[in-house]
Amino acid sequence: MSSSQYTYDENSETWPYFALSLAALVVIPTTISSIRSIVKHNQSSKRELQKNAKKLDQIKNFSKPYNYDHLQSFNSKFNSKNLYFNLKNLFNLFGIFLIFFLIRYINFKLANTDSTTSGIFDPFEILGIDSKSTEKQIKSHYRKLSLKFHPDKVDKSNLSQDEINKIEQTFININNAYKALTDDVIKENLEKYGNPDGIISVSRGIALPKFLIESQGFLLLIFYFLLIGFIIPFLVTKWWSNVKSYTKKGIHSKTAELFVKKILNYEPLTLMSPKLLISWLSNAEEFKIMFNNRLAPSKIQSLIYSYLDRSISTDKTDELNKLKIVSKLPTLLNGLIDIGSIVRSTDMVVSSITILKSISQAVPILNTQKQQLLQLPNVNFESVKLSNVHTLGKLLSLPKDQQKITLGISDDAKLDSTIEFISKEYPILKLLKAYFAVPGESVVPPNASSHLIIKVLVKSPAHHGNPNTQNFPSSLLHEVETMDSLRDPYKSTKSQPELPTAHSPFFPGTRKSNYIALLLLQKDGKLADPASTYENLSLQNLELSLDEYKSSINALNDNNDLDKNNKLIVGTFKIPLTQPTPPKPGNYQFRIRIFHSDYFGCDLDFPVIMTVEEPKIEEQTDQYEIEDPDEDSLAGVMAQLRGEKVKKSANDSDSDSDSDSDLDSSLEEEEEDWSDINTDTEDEAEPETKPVSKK
Amino acid sequence: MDFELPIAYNSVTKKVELDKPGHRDLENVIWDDAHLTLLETDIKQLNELTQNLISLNQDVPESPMPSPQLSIMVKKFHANGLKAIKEKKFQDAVKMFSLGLNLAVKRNKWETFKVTINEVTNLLNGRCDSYILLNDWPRAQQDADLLLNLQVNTFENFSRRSLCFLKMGLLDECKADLERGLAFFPNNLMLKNQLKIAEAALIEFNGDS
Repeated sequence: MSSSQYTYDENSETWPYFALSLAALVVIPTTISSIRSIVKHNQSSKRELQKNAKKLDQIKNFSKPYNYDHLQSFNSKFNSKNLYFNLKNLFNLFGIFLIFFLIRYINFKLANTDSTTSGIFDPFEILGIDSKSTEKQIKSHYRKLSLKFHPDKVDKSNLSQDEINKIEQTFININNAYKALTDDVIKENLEKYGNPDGIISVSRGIALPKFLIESQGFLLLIFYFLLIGFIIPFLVTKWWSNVKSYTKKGIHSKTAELFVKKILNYEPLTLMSPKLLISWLSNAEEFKIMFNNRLAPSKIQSLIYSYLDRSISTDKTDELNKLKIVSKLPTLLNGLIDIGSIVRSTDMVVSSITILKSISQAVPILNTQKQQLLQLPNVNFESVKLSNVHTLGKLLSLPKDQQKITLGISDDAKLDSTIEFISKEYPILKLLKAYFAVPGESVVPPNASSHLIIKVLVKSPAHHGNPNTQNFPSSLLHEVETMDSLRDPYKSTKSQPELPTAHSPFFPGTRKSNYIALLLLQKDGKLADPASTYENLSLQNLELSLDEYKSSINALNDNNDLDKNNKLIVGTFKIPLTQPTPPKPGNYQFRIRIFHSDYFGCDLDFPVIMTVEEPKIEEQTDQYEIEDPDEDSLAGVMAQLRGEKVKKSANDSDSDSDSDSDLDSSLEEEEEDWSDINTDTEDEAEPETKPVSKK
Repeated sequence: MDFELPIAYNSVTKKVELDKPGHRDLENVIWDDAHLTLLETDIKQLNELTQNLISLNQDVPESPMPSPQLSIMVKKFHANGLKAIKEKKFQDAVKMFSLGLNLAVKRNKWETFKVTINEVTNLLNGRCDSYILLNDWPRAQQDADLLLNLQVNTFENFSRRSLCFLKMGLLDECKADLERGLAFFPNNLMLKNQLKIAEAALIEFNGDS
């Protein structure tokens, strides 16, 4: 009965199933992904709106970016990605219709096929009796039914042919069912295989309609020929050349090659200044492709500088090209940071970050620290350059009339909204604590994979006064190790809220801000690890008023009523070290620099020492060893007489560990050694002996 | 493969020069700017070495030991510079140290490098201090920069450069320098005091009081 031969789907019975599953396989994931992206977009835009509700008022007061019109035309040209009506969604819609159609088709087919020929054969159900009936009952019931349904007994005069057929089929079924219940062989078949005929033949087939394979075999052959000979190689080569021509960071491989070449040929005495890097960037392959080699690197460079100086030219294509170039720069700069990380050049990475910030804020690259003020909305460049104020914090501590002079804003309302914006937008980082940690270890052992935990306080430039970290409650400054944190130490940092988009009115497109962390060796000033980026940090502290900030700081310093008085949130960075800790114990000096990707004056720079220690030796004692007897038990006294070791009584050791008099310690030296071993190996050992081991 | 460098010998100046018009015409090799700058450095070094050899009037240099006459002269300039500082003639001191530096770096290129570094750092120390006393912070910072590159293992250099940064208002750089210095000399009181001053200045600078 069973056929080993594969057959094609001659009756077109199964191919809809095949097609359905194939379509579902493609359409369902893509549909889910596009729905998710739409939902996510809506959520984030809603969140942005909520967040910006307050900001909107102020922004109304801000002067429009000088390049507003050009930005608009640029955005309408290149950034108009419609979330709802794009090719992907059209494809999804088509797929859903196809699935719908296939389901309808299968349903239609199923409804038309005979239900009696398929399905499970249950003789009791056909006869309409209870499955516990005896043979006698079955026989009598069968007779009644056969009398009723026998084709010869039924009056066919006013029945249609269909109905006659149905009655005949019913009679056959009844006969079969009866036989199944009475005939031994059939009964056995039924019990074994669930079918009176024995093993059900299983036919395996290919779910393709036959006409596709046989009647037009020639066409198919041509199709296969084209597919294997041309289409697949073409697609693969295209894919591969695409993969090959762009690096993981999204820069063209020729650009990467150029950068590496420049680094290899660069003279060690020249400074890796932002200006040098801009000249490198203007030679990037991307711009050659973008403008078909029509723009010379020098022209590109001058366009970049004119963007940074916020100067505008009358040539419309120039302005458009400028924005095109600038929109490409962050990708290229990320590539530069990546390459700089590999060659461990601190200057290169820091300069790249400086350019990134300047691009985001459209602020010229200067050696002075005026960028902090130049990046603000509504400012007058000239008056900022003349003033002797450099920082946001200083600006916000000045009286109003001096703020006016410094920023060059004459309108009172404008000044107020600008100051309000500054205090809510620019997060100043203050270091609370930084230390190296190895999961599951109390010290940093040699050759371990460690990470740096940095606890920071985010504060607004309007928040004056620094926290005194020495008095801070240690629960805020230390990470508590849980099973979760052992499994993934970086999970807790990822659970912090995402950073908002940066205020970058001149930049074409939005800038998702993040933090870039560098780990430098004090020894040679070079990068110890590649630069890493962080997108999560709570900026909630910015919303606090100065009074709230001050009272929170005081509460933290005095360590009292934290729940009630402290409104500050402590942020965390965790920087993973790709290299293992040094093999020798000792102190290793690092310098950490954390940069905001968009704002000037929001960085952090501090030294940190890694103290590598050999972990305390944990001697494995046999768990099943018989414990030494207690000191004050009878067995203990006996053991003491024999000169063996005894376990100290709880009360004794308590007083011993407290009073560490010279006499005591000299007498108890042996005891201490012992208790050291005891406490380190068994967690559930008496806590009373613990203080002795802690030194 | 025929390979031709775009260089030519100039019989008037008796030097090898970069053959500017020629280098773009070569078919096989395209000289991009990076390679050209490298080649220029090589040519400069070649010319200097030749000049050194010619002025020696010998076929082979006698020894790689540094010439003692030059050392004496350099030392003289150094002593004069120190004397000028003591007399508070800082401009003269800068002049003396600069002359000494010019001499020190003009040693024949085959002489050992160790002595040169020593002399140069000594002279730079003096000049940097003179600039500091003159309140010429940018120049002092440049010298301190060089000093830090030449020898990291002296705390004075950290102190010098951080002072320049402090006076130029680059407080973050100042703090970073002092912290790096303290990484090497954790107990140095001078650096510690300077760091305290820098931190106080930073608080004022950031309006954080």
